[in-house]
Amino acid sequence: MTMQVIQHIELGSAQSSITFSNIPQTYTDLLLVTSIRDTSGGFQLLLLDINGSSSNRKWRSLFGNGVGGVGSQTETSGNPANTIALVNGAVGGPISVVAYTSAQLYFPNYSGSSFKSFSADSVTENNSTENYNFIEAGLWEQNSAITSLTVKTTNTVAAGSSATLYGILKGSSGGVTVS
Amino acid sequence: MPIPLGILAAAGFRPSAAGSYDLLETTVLTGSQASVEFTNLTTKYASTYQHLQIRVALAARADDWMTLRFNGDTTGGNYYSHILRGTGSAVNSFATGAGSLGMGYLMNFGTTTSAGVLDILDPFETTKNKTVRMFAGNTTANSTGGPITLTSGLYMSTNSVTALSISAFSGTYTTGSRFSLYGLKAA
Amino acid sequence: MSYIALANITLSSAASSVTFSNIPTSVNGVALRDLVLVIDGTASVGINVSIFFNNDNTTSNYPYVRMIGNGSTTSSDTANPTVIGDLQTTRGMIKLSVMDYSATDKHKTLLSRFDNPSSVLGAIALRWANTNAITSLRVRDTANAATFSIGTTFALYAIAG
Repeated sequence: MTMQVIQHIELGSAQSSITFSNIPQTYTDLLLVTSIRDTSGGFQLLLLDINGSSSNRKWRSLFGNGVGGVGSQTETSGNPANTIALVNGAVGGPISVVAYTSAQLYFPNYSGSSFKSFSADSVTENNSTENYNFIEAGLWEQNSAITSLTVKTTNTVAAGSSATLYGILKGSSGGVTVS
Repeated sequence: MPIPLGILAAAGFRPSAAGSYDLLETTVLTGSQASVEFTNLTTKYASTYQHLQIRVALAARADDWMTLRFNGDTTGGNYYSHILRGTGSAVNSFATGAGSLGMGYLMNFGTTTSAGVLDILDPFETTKNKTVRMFAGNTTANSTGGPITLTSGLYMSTNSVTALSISAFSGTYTTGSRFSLYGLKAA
Repeated sequence: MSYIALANITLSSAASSVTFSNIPTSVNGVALRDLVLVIDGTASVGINVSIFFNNDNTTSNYPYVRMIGNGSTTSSDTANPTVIGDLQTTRGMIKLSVMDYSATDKHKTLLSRFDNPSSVLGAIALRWANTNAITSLRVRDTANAATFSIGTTFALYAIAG
């Protein structure tokens, strides 16, 4: 079972966050996919705490805003250290339909004893020109194993938001050799 | 040499009892074809899978963009797309509504092979409009195309996804092009 | 089982390259379509990482297109064939898919995401201009001078199709 679901959470009502606790340490990598929205209007931030902390983070991003603009930022750019991307909010202005941001995050070697890399790709979507397709390189500068992940937005995570956590286990098969 | 794959019947590939990522259907074209269809998705997969993924590896064809239609819905106003792209000389972004072919500009084709991975989270939920995320690329630098892209699309319907139709703005997909549908479980 | 672990290595000493060999086109009767390679770690100095298939070392056989962000600006280029991303002396990762690696009727397209929070991140499309099925892959410093550091991991998976 190379790839196995650990847990799926879907919100029936708005909550402050979606949290995966007591993550088993029996896999090699983690894959987190989330379909998520904030309750407030406009674009908000998608945030991630690791082991309950928003600290000890470095990140670098590349994004497009759908109206010709692109940019690249870091954790010193003014957004919080635990920023992952931007996320859809409630309808308003030119945006007249409810949509959920689609994001995936990959954490290799999450249970190891070194700093933890992660990779994030996300897209907001809506029926207007402005949106945010966003990729991020992340680093959690702690040697501890990752035991919990908390997905949040700037304000409140909207009902209908979901997140699924998968474990991926390295191994050997098929006679492949490595040197 | 591997046995060439034709179209596997929907029921011909039983998902494994172990693991949460399953190949559901694969189509490898044995001739040129304008579109590829995945149908009866809710009936076949909604009870087992939470998310869907499509992986494509396309034989060379004329420069164009991939489109995706949901549930046979040809109403252009029900779709929108946004693109982040690297052209080989610049990075830029743009947005577009779509036409009867559905969600456009998901993946650019060069005149060489191209490939992409498309994700639809919660496609069977009947409370959410459908967001598509796709990472794709080819190696034909093109200032008006998009050799390397992170694209997205919105299908403005809360209906469960029953069918997906992959086509292009013009032309056909060529022999050897491969389209595979995968399911990701949530339990 | 559609996501299959093929092989992996965690470097116990610095290495100039890592090679996966004898890559099959099926496992236990399951036909394989795509490869996924995950690299996580550091290098002795900041490097671009190159990939070579089936001992084909002809650089021009690996055209690529890249887009990157460096924390303040973005850019796109085609200047570095064979490159799949970079590694630095601070931790980063590369995750790539080689699509239809077992096909014998098309060139092979590789999609890579590379992530270095201390330098650059981005995405690459690379093509191996060869119709042979891929049976081996090797990654190394593009300049063939630096090493992957102790503790850097390489994990290879296959996806059925």
